[in-house]
Amino acid sequence: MTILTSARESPGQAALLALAVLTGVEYVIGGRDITGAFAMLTLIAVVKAAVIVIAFMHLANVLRGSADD
Amino acid sequence: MNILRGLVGGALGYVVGAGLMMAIRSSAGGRAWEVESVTAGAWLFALSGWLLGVGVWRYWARGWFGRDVAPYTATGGRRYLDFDTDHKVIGIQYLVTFLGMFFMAGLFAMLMRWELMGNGEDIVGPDQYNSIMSLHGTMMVFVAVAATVGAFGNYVVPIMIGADDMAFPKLNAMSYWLVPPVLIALTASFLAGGYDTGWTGYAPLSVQSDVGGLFFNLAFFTLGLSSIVGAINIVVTVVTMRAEGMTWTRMPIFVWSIFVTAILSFIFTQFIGLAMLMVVLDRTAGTIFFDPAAGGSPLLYQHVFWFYSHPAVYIMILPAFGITLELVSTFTRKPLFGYKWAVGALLGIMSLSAVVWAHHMFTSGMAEALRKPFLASTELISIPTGLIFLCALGTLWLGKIRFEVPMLFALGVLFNFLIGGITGVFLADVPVDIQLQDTYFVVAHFHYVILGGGIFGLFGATYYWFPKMTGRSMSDRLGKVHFWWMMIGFNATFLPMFILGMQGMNRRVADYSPDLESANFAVSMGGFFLGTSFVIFLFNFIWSWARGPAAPADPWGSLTLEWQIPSPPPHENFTSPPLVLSDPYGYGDPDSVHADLARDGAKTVVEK
Amino acid sequence: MTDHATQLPHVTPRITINRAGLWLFFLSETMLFSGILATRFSLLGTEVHEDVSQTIGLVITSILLASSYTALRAEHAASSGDRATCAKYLWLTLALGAVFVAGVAYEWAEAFDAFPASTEFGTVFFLMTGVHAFHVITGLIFLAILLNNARLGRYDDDAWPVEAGVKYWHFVDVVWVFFYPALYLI
Ligand SMILES: [Cu+2]
Repeated sequence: MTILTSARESPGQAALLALAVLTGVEYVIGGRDITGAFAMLTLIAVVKAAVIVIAFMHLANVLRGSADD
Repeated sequence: MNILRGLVGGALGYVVGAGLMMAIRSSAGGRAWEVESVTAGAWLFALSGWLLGVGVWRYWARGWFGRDVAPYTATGGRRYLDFDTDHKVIGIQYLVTFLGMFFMAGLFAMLMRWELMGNGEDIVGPDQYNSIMSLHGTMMVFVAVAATVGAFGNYVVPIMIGADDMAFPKLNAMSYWLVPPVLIALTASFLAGGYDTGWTGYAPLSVQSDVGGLFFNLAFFTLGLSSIVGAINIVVTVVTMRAEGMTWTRMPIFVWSIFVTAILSFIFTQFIGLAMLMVVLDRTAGTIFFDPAAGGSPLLYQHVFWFYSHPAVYIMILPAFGITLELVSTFTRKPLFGYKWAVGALLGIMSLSAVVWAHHMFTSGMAEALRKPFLASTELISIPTGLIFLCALGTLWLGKIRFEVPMLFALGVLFNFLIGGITGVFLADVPVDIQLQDTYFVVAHFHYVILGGGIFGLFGATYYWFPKMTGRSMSDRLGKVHFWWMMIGFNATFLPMFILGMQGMNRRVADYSPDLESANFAVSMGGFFLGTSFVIFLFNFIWSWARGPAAPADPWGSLTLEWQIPSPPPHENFTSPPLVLSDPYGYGDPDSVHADLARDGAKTVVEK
Repeated sequence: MTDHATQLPHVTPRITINRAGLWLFFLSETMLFSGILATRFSLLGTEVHEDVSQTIGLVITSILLASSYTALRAEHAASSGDRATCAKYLWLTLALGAVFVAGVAYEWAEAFDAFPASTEFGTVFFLMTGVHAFHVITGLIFLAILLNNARLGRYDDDAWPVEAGVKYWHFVDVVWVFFYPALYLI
């Protein structure tokens, strides 16, 4: 799996790691009775969505209208 | 031939879907066959089967499996019955289909006026009356939503921006071929006895209605799919396919109006799909979205429904605004007055339309605190709408007006919409609305907006672009007769309805109190008069298409791009890519050139 | 030539047109899922009353997130013309997606008894998971077609279909990012 470690691929891995951590945090918050949990969960969901949209879906490509990926 | 394939595909899809649904139902321990659940689940399969059969498989999907797609061989008139990807063919398919639907729905209106002509139950009972009323409303709403965008958004917009086709020609064909299943569902609904909810399909009545109501839900859902696909196509086309030099501020105002309409359409149409889906689930899957006894909320339906259906009013009317401004400028021989203000107004209406939906719910029992903000936001919309009026009036001002047939319809839009718009301000006012809710005042108001505005615009556009689309001219004299007949009939029908409404005549009922009989008789006479005006149009339309004299490339002296190419345009629209040099409203300025169509260089080609 | 440096070139690259269409489709679908979320909060408020299985929720969520990553790898492999790697990761994505669907199916089987569709929570639960699962299943169908074609090298020249299918898969994942806390955590 040498391909996994090439520099070009690392943003995907960093994003995956971030998603995993955030999901863990979400799970912990959801399991407890914390005040402001709703706001925190909303914020985390927005961040996770942003990570996917930016790092996985390359939103910048379509906004720039560039032909390269 | 492909229609036959489509029908077979649809039937096969239905059988497969129904089998699947029955298997699921019996494995869940229920009775296998139950017409509503099975049909609702099988509909998506039937729809896919129909699309695959009608051409998606042969011309498109075979490629996904490594097979060669079938060569497209249809020519001449057969193209209009086939899965043709030319935007000009699709535009005409839309126009003919929805004019047909318009006349069908018009016949239902005639039936309603016949019933209401005299006091008491004359020809149909109350249930049948409500079914006819519901089908009339539903079909007319479909026409108003899809006819102008589908016909002229497809035919004219790509040419106006100097493109050779839409951005996604196959999707474009698909969005048209989603329309016949709508017709099938509506027919099935009619045969199953119809439904009595009106086109608004309010829950919980719509959950309880007969199987005809289910077909209404499926029809609306399917039309929604078609609208979304078509709208995305138009937006992408306008954004990415404009010719060189066709900057945003040089775009014809009609393109702007269709662009804004398409944005509204692809954003908000999802909500009608959701509303229909939830009703279908309540009907067939035992969910309780709209059942207050079990914790659901009927108000939820109205919120979701109007969150689409108010913007839908602008989907119906904005294209007519665009046509009106286009025609007013062309036939006044003057530049469009306040072009940028008109564009701003279109964008303003687009934004505001998302925050006014609950003005339909002032008497529904929603939270009272919501009334004032929705009153205010609704009345705000009269500002951009007024701007569009001022642009039209400013263009007309001191102009040498040519009263050609399309122009008469444009002036008709201005006259009728003024009445429809102003009475809308009254209805937005909460105390007045509480009095007038569900009366003929409301009926008159929205007919002035949708029929007097939107449909007059549709006919204006048809008269205007008919020579371009068919290469033949329509009879001018018959056109004028049609306009005045329709204009007088329209006002004779709907103006008295305002008074009837203020006298307390309820809508959606087959009978009324005896003292309203003479007024209703007059309205019915006006209605029949209005109805017969379309016979003239139909004759003119069909006869001119078959036998009319050949039309020149630019019979109206218009400057937009579609008039600079032959009538009808060649398949690829332009022989060399247009170079747009200025806006298309340089009337009265002999040096003004909208575009250079004869420059050298490669042809505008976007691979398909 | 005219005086405009900023205007679009008169032939927009096909890939840009395709991407614009795909993203507008996502925007449109976002409205659908926002409507579903709004329905959920309108009917249930901000509380979850029923006992959904926290373990299954966490597991299927993690699996779907992981499948987004494998899908991304497939897209990258396709864009560099690496058929075998592309097919391998499409396989992985398909398998993870199938496990997700199986998890939802298991939840449904439990739900028929615990909170059937005739309850407030059941109504919302079946709507949200149902519409989402419908998108997951269509995504799986796309991925299966992509896998077949990628193996045969049909995307060596033009990887756009892979990009489109994978982006759709990501989008379905984004939806779940919001649905997961809305169904399980708050
Ligand atoms: Cu409204």
